[in-house]
Amino acid sequence: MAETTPAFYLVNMFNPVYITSARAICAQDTFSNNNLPEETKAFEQNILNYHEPDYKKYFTIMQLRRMTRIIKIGLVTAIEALKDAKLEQPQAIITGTAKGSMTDTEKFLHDIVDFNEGTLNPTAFIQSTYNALNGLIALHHNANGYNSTYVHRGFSLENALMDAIMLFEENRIENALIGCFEEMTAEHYELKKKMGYWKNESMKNIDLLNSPTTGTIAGEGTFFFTLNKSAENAIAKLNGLRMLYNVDEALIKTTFKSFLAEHNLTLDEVDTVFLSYNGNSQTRHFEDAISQQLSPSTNQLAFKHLCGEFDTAAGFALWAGAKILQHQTIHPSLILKKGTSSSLKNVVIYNQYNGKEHAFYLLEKI
Amino acid sequence: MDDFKKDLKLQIIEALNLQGMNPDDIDNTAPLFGEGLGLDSIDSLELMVLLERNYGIKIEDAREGRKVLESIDAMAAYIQANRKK
Repeated sequence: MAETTPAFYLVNMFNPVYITSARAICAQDTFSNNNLPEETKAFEQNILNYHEPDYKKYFTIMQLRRMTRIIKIGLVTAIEALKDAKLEQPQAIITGTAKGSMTDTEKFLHDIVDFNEGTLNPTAFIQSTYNALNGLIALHHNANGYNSTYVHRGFSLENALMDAIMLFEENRIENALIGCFEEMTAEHYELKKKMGYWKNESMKNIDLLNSPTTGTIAGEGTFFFTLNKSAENAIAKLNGLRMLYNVDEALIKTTFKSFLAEHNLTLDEVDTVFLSYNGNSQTRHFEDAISQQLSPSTNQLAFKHLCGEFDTAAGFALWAGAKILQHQTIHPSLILKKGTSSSLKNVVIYNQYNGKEHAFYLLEKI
Repeated sequence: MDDFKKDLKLQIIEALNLQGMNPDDIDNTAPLFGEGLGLDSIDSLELMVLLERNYGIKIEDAREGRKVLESIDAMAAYIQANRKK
């Protein structure tokens, strides 16, 4: 098989966009208080499934009956993000997902086989399409503006954000709802296990970051953000985004420094860095390449031991980073290495998925 | 026939995921769509799938489909007269 040609994409300097709300549903109860709970949940299995909200507060039984799990979770997360931002009709709805509704996709594919390509249920087909959630959000909010879903594996969220950033740059929108969503089914877990994605041994999530073996633990997560062109009522500012595909750690190292330099930051001025350590001994060198450069003053944080690994897990760090800047405090469960600085003016996120898709984000305090 | 209608209602409840509903909640004569049970166009497709899979009945004509899916009574009568399995 021909080796994939290394390539990287750049998002050049753009005017900052402002995050006016951030919402998360994942394996931890991040939804009840829109923050990490005082005590995070410990898991002893290799799938960290959603902590689901009470859907009956949002939908009637007749509405609920057709929605599968990820559709309900996505819609509830989006509803609350819009409510927090006091935004009824976003001018753009842009999401990223690597797999969409796996439950519906699997049901539809099984039905094709079981019923010999005969008459198939429409509901599973409709909801198996990646943009089904976007459509429902738009219907729910009567929002008939720009609507798009990016399906780009480990770059799905980043491409959704990039699209929004370009719409802001072109003055086509003033606000947008951006999100990402992913679910893990038992069948999909088994398929990925055969591909070597997960650990063979049963793993406690709190021990994940020190694991000496290959593979990681699976997770699920849905994250929605409202973005605005103006700083009014913002909780954080997104000031930089860069993606790199299929590069080595040397380029990760140099890109990190140039990314900071482009935003007039030195290593000593970085207050907090999220690192995407996921316990996989084969990809740890990427995060190490960043960690080893950091100043003792910088807080080094991890997050995948709390939410598990999935294509759009960077959404967790983006949500948690915005919360850190909003509340000026770091939840202890995130801390990998505490820095000496007490300043919380900026948060850099470094995320890599499966050693191929790498992204840097820069968030700043308002 | 009453047992058959009860079975049919159970199949509809399962196919359409009518959570918390039981056969007694569905009136045999009430319209399934609109003001009756409140089903919609996607439900009508789901019911077509049910008729084909469970009874071997394939409805090609939309006008005929509207009559067949009018109520539980109409569905039950059509199935009894046209079922292939």
